[in-house]
Amino acid sequence: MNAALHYDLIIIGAGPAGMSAAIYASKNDMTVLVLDDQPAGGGQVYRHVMQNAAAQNKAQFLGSDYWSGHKLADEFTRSSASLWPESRVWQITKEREVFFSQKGKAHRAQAGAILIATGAMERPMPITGWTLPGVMTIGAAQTMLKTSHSGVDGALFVGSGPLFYLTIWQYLNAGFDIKAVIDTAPGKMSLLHYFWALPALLQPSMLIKGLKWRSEIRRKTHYISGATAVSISGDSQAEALSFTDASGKQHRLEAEHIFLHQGVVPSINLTMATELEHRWCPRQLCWHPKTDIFGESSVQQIFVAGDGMGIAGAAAAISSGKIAAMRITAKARGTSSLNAVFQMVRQVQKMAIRPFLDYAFKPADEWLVPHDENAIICRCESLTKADITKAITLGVSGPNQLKSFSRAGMGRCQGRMCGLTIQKMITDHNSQSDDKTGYYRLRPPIRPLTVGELAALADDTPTS
Amino acid sequence: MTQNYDAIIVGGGLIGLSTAYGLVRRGHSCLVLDASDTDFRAARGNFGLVWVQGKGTGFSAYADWTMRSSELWPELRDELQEQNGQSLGLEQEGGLHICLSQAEFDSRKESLDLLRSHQNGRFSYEMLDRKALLDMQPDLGPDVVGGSWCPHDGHVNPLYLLRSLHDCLLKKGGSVIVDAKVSAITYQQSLFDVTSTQGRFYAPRLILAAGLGNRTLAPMVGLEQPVRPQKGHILVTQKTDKLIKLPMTQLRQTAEGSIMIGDSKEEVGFDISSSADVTAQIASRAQRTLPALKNQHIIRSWAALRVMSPDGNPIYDQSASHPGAYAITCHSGVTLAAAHCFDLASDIEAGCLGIGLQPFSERRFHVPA
Amino acid sequence: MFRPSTSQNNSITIYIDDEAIQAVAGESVAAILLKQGITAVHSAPDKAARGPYCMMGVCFDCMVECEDGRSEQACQLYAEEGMKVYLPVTKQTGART
Repeated sequence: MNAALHYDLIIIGAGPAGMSAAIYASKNDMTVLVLDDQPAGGGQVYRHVMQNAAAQNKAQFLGSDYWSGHKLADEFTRSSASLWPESRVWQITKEREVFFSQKGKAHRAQAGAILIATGAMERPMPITGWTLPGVMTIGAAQTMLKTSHSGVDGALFVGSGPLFYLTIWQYLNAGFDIKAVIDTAPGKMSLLHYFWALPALLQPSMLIKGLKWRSEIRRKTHYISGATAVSISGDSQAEALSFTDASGKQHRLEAEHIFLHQGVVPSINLTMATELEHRWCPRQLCWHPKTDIFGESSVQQIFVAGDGMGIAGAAAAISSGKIAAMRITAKARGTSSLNAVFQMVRQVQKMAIRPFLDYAFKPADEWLVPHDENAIICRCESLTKADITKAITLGVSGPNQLKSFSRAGMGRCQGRMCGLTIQKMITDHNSQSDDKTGYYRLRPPIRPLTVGELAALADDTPTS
Repeated sequence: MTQNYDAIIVGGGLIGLSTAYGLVRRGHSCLVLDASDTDFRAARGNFGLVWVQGKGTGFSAYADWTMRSSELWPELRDELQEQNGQSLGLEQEGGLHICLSQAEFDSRKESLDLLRSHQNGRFSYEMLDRKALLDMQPDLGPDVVGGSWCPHDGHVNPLYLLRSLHDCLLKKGGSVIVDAKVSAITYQQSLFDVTSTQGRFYAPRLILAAGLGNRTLAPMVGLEQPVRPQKGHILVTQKTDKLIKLPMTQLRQTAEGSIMIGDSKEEVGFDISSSADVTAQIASRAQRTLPALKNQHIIRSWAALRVMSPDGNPIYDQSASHPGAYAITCHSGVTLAAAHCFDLASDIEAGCLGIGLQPFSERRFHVPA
Repeated sequence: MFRPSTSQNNSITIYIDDEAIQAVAGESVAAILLKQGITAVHSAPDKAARGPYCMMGVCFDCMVECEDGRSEQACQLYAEEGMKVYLPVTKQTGART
């Protein structure tokens, strides 16, 4: 076994929540290890911010929200927390052992407390043709802007939500031509939207920013709203997008690059594989780990912070990471957690806009389960909606039986791309609640590692 | 009280489904009561071997029963495949057991010799030295000293089997109700009254095939099933080129190209959490067997609970106090599927377990030592 | 094809199916592929071509093969001088040979 690594706090994920927790805990004399997939801190939202700040070309087109992350990332980099970059955590035990691989070598580390801050991923949008090369997520398009300052001219943008508008706005700023923006959000606001817009007024800058992006997009692009029945065609590459607009008119637009988005959901593979308890959130249509007000999960000393505990955005993530770190530090020291409670008050204000966003951009059913029987649902095993329906009609009580009947969710992505779709299909077919249907029973390793990497852990262990 | 079915089978795993399918194909109406999605479910954690070598050492009835099932397997395969077109990926071209030390080799030989002596030569196998083994399976690691080869062994896709049995059962008019947890069984006028979370059902025959659940169900019909959980871990790699020619006790390659690496034996009670120390040991042994596995990604792992009796052999019993009730547990649901479908179902139809199954009664645990 | 909007410091050489490509050190291989106009990387079980989709390590549709035979997600593999990667889709279709 490698010389036993032991830390007071191990943080998984160096995004806003992870970085802010690391800064607070390390300042308060906790030994902190931070593990992240990427070469540097930032997470998806502030991805590449340190490298971009050091570069000649400042990529101002990414906007002030992005650049506001530099201060945080810089403070994190200068903190005493140790970051192990390019590290993929593949298992956590309830005894707080953390297993991860870095550049082909597996390691184990013991923590006094663990903070899971693995953030969010984009909700799968399984429409016909979404597997074709050239079709990517909005997040992927934005990652290309952040890490490579690169984009494509003549792309189509299909979907809705804050990240959708932000990325298009950044695309325009960077000087790329956009062929069309096809908005899938319903054209009109309902009474419920106006109701939830009231607390959103607590965050006026957010509201104004969103409206600004949207009006600029309407003005500067070929913008079509209320799109339904969207499908992508092509042989071995995306070639065209077909859809119906709000007035019922059918369109066909040719493009080799199409970016999709239907909001984001918590990344739950690590929290579920650690067997933390989760609950279904009907407002956000995703699973949230159950936590107390400080973010402590159903397993003692394992905390969750940031979008991984429920989508609330970067500002709230920074705050929730700090709250968790305050509580973890207070517990380690045996001191009061009152400061964490005060921090919470500020947290609430940072989340005020969320219910409005959740209702305004709640994906319609057709983006959750495709109409087309031939649309692929499980990308890894190339299973179509018809394949899944056939297995469901054999009589299944939940996703795990469906998995044995169909292989859905058994591929490399471990259900990340099909889990929510399959859950909804079973829920609808069996006319039962999402809580009753449940989700895949996820198991470590949650990231692929090689047989050799895993075997080396055994060979290192002294035989007793 | 009215009879709904000719037989009710409690348990929708491999034993329950293969027995139920066997009854349905003989024209009996059957209802399978299946558990909930997150129950323990050994059938979903099966390694997929149709395996003869090593089964029934010291218990020749089990060796006979295993051999019988292995011989019936092609018939089951043909019948299921013909009905639903799903290939089960059955291969019965022999299998290997790999020994990584001389001590392992010697003890393997001793146990298989004993088995053969009880089998009147029906069971055949060969101990192979390293060189002979390399002719069958190239690229073995330097730690491999030899192994045993048995021509009766093979493998199948256990999930396709589960689905095919389920599908063919429905096609022939059988019924499956999921999420049906059985809470009570009573017996009146030769009819079983089964109360479940999905309703009450009646039948003159009742087969308990609920794995570890049989511990509490069997006493309801005057039987005992003293089984315990034994955890087994399995690792699955990415799909890759053909690396493994013949299935091995702890290593096999599926028709799709994934490599399955098994499997541990842990006595840890009702716990299916994954232990990195155990999975690392499994990976280490696999890599010592076949070094080419080193760079293959493990994309999936799972742990399931084997259903173990005190002596590790299956239990087949029929109730004296509740005629028509049977209780079955084993941890070889894949290998024995063919015997369950053809022979066991025929015995249940006849109303009496055959002579070959008599030694499997739970009463064997009550014999004073 | 993806194009940069700023000038790029292509200081290293990597090899894609043995073809030399100038790239930015530390950039993900998936980003480098996209800037080369390569969107198809590997083949799904139904033999259809797939390529980078999420760019954040969750979809596993940008699998490439490294020199030592390992598979890696191109979006999680960061370019270093002399790195060699092979596209599984090429093996299937012979597209780039």
